[in-house]
Amino acid sequence: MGFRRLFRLTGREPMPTEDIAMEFEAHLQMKADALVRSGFSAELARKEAERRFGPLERFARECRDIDVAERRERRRREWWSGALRDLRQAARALMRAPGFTLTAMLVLAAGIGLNATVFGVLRGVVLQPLPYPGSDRLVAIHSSSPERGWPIFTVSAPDFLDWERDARTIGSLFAYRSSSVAPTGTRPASQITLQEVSSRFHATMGVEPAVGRSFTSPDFERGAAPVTLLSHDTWVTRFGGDASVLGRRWILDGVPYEIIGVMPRGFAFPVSPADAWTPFIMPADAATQRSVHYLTVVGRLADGASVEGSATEFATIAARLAKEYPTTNANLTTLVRLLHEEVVGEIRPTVLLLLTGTALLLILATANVANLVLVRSMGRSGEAALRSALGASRGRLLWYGASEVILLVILGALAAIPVAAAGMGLVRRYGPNGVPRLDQIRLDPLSLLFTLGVTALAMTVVSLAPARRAAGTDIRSTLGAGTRAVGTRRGLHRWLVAIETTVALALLAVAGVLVKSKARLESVDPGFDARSTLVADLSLPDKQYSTPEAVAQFQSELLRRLQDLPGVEAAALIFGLPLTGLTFSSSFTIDSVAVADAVNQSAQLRAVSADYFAAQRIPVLAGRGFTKEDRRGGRPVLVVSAGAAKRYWPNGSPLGHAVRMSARAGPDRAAGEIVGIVGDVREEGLNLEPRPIVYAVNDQVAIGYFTVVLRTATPPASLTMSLRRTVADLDPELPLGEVRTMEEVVSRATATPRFRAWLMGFFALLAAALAGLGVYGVISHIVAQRTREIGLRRALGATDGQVVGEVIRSGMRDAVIGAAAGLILGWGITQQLSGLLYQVEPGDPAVLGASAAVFLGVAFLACWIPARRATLTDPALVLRGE
Amino acid sequence: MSGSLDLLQGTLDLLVLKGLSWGPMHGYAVATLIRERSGEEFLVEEGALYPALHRLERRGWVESEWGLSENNRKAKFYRLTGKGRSQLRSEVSLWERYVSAVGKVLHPAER
Repeated sequence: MGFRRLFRLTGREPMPTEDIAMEFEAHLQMKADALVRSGFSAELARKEAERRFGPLERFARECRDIDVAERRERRRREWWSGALRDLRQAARALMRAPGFTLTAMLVLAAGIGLNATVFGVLRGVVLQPLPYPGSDRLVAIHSSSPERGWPIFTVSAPDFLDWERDARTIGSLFAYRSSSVAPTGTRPASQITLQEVSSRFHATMGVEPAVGRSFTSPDFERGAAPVTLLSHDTWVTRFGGDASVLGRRWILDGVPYEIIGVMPRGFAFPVSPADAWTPFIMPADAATQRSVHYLTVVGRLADGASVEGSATEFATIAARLAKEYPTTNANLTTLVRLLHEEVVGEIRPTVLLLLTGTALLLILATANVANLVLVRSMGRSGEAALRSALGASRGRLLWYGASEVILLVILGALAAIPVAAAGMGLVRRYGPNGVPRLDQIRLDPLSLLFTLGVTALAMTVVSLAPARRAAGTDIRSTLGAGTRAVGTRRGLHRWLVAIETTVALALLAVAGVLVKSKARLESVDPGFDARSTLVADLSLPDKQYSTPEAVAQFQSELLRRLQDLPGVEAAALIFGLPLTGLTFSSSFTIDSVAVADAVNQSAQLRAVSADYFAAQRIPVLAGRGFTKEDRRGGRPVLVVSAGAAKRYWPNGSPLGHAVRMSARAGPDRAAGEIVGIVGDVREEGLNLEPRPIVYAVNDQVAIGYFTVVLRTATPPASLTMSLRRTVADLDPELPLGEVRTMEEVVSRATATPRFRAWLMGFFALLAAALAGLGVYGVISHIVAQRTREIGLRRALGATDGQVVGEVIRSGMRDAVIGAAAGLILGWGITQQLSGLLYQVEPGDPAVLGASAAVFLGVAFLACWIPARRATLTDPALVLRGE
Repeated sequence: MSGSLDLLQGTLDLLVLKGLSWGPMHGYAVATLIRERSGEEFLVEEGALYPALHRLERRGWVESEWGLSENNRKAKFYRLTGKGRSQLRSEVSLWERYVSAVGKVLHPAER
């Protein structure tokens, strides 16, 4: 059977038509013979035989159709069984070379797995639409004043009311603000986020409660009984998912709220998740509070309106308000953008950067494996030629050449599944805080499939080279030449060296720029000393601490007790801890002179206790800091930051001037005489210039929301328990927020740049290692091919140095070409990153130079090792060999 | 040959399989065998046998090989395969059920 098929493969099988004609002819002759025997004349017998046979042509056609179909089926079966046999043979070959197989599989698994991970992040975090009906019509609307360096900030209630009245491009909009409140009567005391939403909340978001009723207009009237809608999570974790909660009272900060419903599972504002919602009831004096910004606004575009059209309309409204209320609204514009953009805009460049990194890694992985396969296939050109001689078709030869690659890609993809799953887990766990929806990313088959497709395509293209070689081999030359003169395929190898160098160098350059930026960022002096400092948030409920006296009394008692704790060097409070995202800006007057431009003459307001500057080690530059004597009922005093002093008193000293903040901060307005200047603090972000700050005495402004700051003599974390106990002793109902060190606060503020730098650094090292191995593999192979030549030249007197130098020169020539391309590619990629960099130019020459030096060093080593090995073999042995 | 019977659809395949169950033979022999055994009842063009043979071969029920006929003519011989033999068995039993069912309808009194 084997032989028959072997020969049939070459297409010498008789045509079915001839076969059928012969068969029919035999029948007619036998019939005619029989008829002659029964008395017919020879001539008549033939006629009669044909008559009885029937329409010969029709039967022949039918038979041929059947035979042709049969032959086609058989060929297909044979092709498939042959293909399967090739695959089995490839599998056996792979099993015989476990080192090669494992290496190729792991390299591919890493490439595919990392890509699937990052692609999954891209899908889950960036591409996924927001989970609201018609979410592509939802926009976020902010106040904005780029002149003052505030591209985005919150909205004042009167501005919001004007927008609600005038905007035509927005079908419906609502405002919200969040606050932390404590459910009364729970032990240990805890905090939840309560979001106050204005009346068009349901209409705008398009989401109704899953259980119970929505907010209705009477709920929003002043004096209405407080009601609340629970988030699904709150309902399940705090109320056991019990439907009978409807109508029950839930006491938050001492105020009883009637639970009227539960929002659907998964409903939350993407930017600021809440545990419960309640109607936002406009304060009576809201209409006059145009300089107080505290609302976040979300709108739904009217039918037919676009984001751009809406932005234009809001610009017009802002200009009109600026004319009408110049003191508060001059220089104030509006920023309108899609809510989706608001959620993913910040993280998108990071994800795209990571995707670029993993794509480059995949190219490297593919190139490396392709090279390994190529080298292997060279040793087997003889076999391909033999098959070709035996009549295997070109398609079969291509398949035969590719079958190993196909198996490797499948193995790599299988091994990539756990890699990708682990990668997702790591990203979920260690991804930077505050990345929206990061906790929801899953390994979805589509991401894996996508990456597998890309890999398979790349591998197919690359493996076609050896396969085509096999298919096109000249039989006689190959079979006759043994394994000596097989074409060296130098061109392809040189391409591989150049491409690997390009990719690795580009990744090194990108990572280098990011690492340098991260180092610069972390070496920035924030203006305070984060070491040995413990912080925790506290929020005093208005109900129990309704008077400024009550707040001040609690605060001074708390500080007194904390000060006495062993290990505490200084205990202090601040409203508005640096790097926590809290902004509380307010315009102010100097010496009662009316403000010409409220937006321009404003500062961040902070309220601190006497020892705050000491606790954070913020230097007092002039005048004095606060003391215990600056207390309630005493002379009101303020301290300004150096930046504020320089900006508002450019030619003199602020000391002795009276400043009044116009914003209502807590029960009292912050106002007083400036008695000191302290150092600037980067409280908005380490990468952002310090803003002007006005410090008030917490005792004098009495804000019930603040952060405890402890400078410790012992490791800060060791005081966590005593801090908790001290607060609980004072008021067991009071929930203490997360206790953390100031170093953690700083570290969180730099989490995203650090995450980027770490990951890209990891990718770059992986790339350098892969590319180094790749170059090593190529050069080793070339050297191995040239063993005879090298041996001959050494026998003729070439020195080891000459041989090594020549090998290194030929390898490094391609590496240098690749390096030049890599520098250009890296430069181009970093140009896209300028928004992510701090105090580093995108094409930083030092970084580019160092990357080139590092990788060329690796390449040099990768060339030198095989070159050196070539000189260690005895030339006589080589020449006699073979 | 007036009064001869038209072959029912599919019956030819059954007859060919049955014929080959006696041993390998060429197309002409199969035709002769069917003609003689049926008492020359069937009106069938002898050529119609060949598409049936090729069809059976494609299904793997018979296989063919060129050989020499009894009077030394080159002829294609067909042979029943194992698969063809079991196919024949099931077709025969199917046919008997068919005949008996038709018979029961036509001759109810015989029951």
